Amino acid sequence: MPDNQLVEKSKLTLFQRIKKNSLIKKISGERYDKAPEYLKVDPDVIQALMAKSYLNISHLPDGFALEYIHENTDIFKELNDELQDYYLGIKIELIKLLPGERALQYIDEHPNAFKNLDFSLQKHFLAKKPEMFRFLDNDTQKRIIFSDESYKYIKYLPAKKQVKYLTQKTEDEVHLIDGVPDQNGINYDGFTLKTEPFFFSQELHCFDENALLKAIKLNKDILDRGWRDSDDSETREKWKMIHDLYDYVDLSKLPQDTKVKILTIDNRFISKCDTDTLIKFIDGNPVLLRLLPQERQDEIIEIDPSMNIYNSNRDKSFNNHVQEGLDINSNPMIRKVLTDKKVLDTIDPNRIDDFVKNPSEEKFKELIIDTYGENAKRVLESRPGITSDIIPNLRIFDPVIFEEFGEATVHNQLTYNTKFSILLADFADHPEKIQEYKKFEKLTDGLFIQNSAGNEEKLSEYLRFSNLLPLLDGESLTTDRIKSLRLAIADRKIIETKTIKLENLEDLDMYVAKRNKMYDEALKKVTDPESVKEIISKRFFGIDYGEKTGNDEGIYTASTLTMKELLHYYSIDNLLKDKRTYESDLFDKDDLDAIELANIISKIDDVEVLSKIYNVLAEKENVISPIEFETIKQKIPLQYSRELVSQLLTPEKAREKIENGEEGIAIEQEDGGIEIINLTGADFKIMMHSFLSVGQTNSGFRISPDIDKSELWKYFENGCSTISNCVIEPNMLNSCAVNENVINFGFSNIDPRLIIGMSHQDAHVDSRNRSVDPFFRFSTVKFNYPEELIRKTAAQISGVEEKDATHDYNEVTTYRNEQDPNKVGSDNLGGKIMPDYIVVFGEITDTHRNLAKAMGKNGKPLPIVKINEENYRNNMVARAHKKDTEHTIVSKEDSEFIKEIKEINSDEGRER
Amino acid sequence: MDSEKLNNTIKLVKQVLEENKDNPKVTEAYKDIVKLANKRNID
Repeated sequence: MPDNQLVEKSKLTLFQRIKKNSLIKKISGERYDKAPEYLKVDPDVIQALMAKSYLNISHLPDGFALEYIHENTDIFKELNDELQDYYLGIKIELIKLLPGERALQYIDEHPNAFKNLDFSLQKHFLAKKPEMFRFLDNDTQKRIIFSDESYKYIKYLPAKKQVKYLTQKTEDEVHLIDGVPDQNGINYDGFTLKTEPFFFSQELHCFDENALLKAIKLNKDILDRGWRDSDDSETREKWKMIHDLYDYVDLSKLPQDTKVKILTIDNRFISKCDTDTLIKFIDGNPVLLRLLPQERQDEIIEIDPSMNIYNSNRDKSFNNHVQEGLDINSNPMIRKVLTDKKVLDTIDPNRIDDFVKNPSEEKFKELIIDTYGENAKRVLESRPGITSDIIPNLRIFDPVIFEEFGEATVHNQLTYNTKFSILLADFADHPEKIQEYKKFEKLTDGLFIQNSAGNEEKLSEYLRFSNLLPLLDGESLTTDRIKSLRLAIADRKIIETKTIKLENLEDLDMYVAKRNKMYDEALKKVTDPESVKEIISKRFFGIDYGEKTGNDEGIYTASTLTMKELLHYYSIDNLLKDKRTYESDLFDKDDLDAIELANIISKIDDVEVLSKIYNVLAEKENVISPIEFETIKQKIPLQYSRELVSQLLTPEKAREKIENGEEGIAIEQEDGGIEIINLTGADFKIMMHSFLSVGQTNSGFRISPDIDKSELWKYFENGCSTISNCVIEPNMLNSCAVNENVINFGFSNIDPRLIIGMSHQDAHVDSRNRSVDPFFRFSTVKFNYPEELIRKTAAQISGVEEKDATHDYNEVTTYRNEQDPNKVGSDNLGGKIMPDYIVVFGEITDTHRNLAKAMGKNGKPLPIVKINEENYRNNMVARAHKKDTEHTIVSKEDSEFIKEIKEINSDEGRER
Repeated sequence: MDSEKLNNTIKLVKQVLEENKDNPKVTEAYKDIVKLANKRNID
């Protein structure tokens, strides 16, 4: 019989009544235990037992014990701790009956019980033990913070969440399970929570200090780069969002040490701090006094007259300058120097004083060199076009960065706008963190593209797992956990899996099961084939399936590719029909078959069949997973690029053609050592970039006729990070500019890995300056083997296939700088790509000759390739119908015998 | 890519498509998976 069920007082027999009376008279715990069931549940017996001693409660069945406590609440607090803990484990609400200290002790020892308390009790305990906030579920946490406006609990949220609140807009759906009324008595099922950094401007004291400082570092970086004037509306909006936060921010409730740390990171906050804090801030660095408004300087000098030597009022003209320095839009040079402790510790204060008074680019660089030494000098002198606004922070020049990450890494922080530079500054300040990062790199080997964009992705993932990494050490670093971590990273583009909490080892151990269950549940809700393919693609291949929508519609980057985009942008059908694919050392058989499998699944259009496929694969462990597919994705565009580069005309190939007696090509040497390669009919394929000799570039830079083009190519640092090239050949000479104001640079000895986009029309590459991960718009990217690239270009120009209305050329886009760290250094302008020759249509002029000499390599001028147009057709109509057959795999049905029969039949047809 | 995992996956997909090979929405994919399986000597 259940021990918590009320028993009706049934009629007892005479014998039973005698037994009952006997038990009651001599009642004890032991006798009760031996009594028959019908007596144990008798209310008179229970009353007698408890009347004897309340400690007898331990003999009662749990249900009766709880009922007794319910009716006699006083006895609960009299029980020993062990008994109390026992009953609390069954009914946590009993905690209300305990004195405050004892209740807190129980919660402390049983934090998971906290989650099971009702909401009002949770709030009651939070007042005494706010750190228990961490044990609440996400929705309750948000409800307490935002609905009840108890911001003091923000510091107990995960650090990443806190940083997000201070650096981004957020939007969440918060669900309230019990619909308990809020502080205004309003009862509802949930709410949409939208925040932006500005909301927290008065609540910074509620954040954990480390999270707050991290957010300030990130925000500073955005403000320093002056994104206010960016053409990109998203970045302008972000700048404004942070600017608004800072305008209204209140630091007064923060501890003084925290305020000083904030000022050290970003002295924009000077105007928000009290005098005592400012004194602490400039302690040891009195020259910083000049950053303060005059009245604050006067306050400090009154306290400490010896500070008067730093008084900017001594020089009235400088005073205005200091005021300007306090403006949020001021010259970042001064901030970068004055917030770098190493500079302030190394350089004579008078020299710094002089710099602050009269800043200049030259002095700025000298300060860096004199602080950071030969490495910094070598880097800065190799790139004279680098200006202070480009240098993200000075800590990247620290010797530990050169030692641990290499000179190429330092150069890359100057080449691109990166978030990685912020992390490097942190590593320079805390070198002990570097090993943790390197551990992460090792654990995630192969999962990121090996270029600067891949590094930025790696950084994001490193920060995502920064709480987890220290826990993965020694015995806790098991094979299974490494697999789970790698899978979580291979899943990184999938929004759904990114919501799975991964902050401790338990989370990591549960990751695979949770993600798989999530997909199983998702499958039950979908009814169309595309949605099922979406789930299959995410679970087994680690990428979304369908094309991007909304703001990302039509956008291509290698790292955000969906399955459908991969099949389209990478021309998979053509890839798998070409012999060169199978002869390539890039792929092994499994790679290509995996791609083919993905292609096959994409062709199935039946929801039940697709669901069955999902279910049979989901039951097995030994099937493909996203980790395997990640590296395959990276190889496909490289295969096309390698083939293209292998076909390009090089000076060496030109000489070989002549030696082999090929007609239509000749080489002559001009005075001055310039080699002229004359093309008068020989076949060629050339990839060239058309460089305006006068006019506006895509970077927004205006080139005037008198600018030295070689200097511009070598030393200009503030342009777009890509080079847009056209591929031309005898039957198709169209490129993006053919007038007299154009210089054409030919690129042939180029690392194929630098090709990041390809299209038979304009590829619409993003031209933001110094972008580390340039993207392509309007779904125009289409990687192909060169023959198909040329054919499709001709087809679109002539209108045989879909036409690009405004562009009559193709585009092959490369990075402007080398991506292999072994090829980036101070001896080659930070890895800047240089042309292999100059291409001229028509007459060679002195402009060409001078440029060839100025852009020469190894002491020799660049060759000039002269294309004599009258010898070449520009007959795209004929070309448009000619498909590549030389490299196409012949299908088994088209055997040689069958082909012969077909030929005979067609000949007979013609004869008739 | 793990060969064994890929083989298992192809085999399982092929089994499902085989059961539905008369379905016109599946026919082309079935032919392709048979070719792929044969290429890899998967039954």
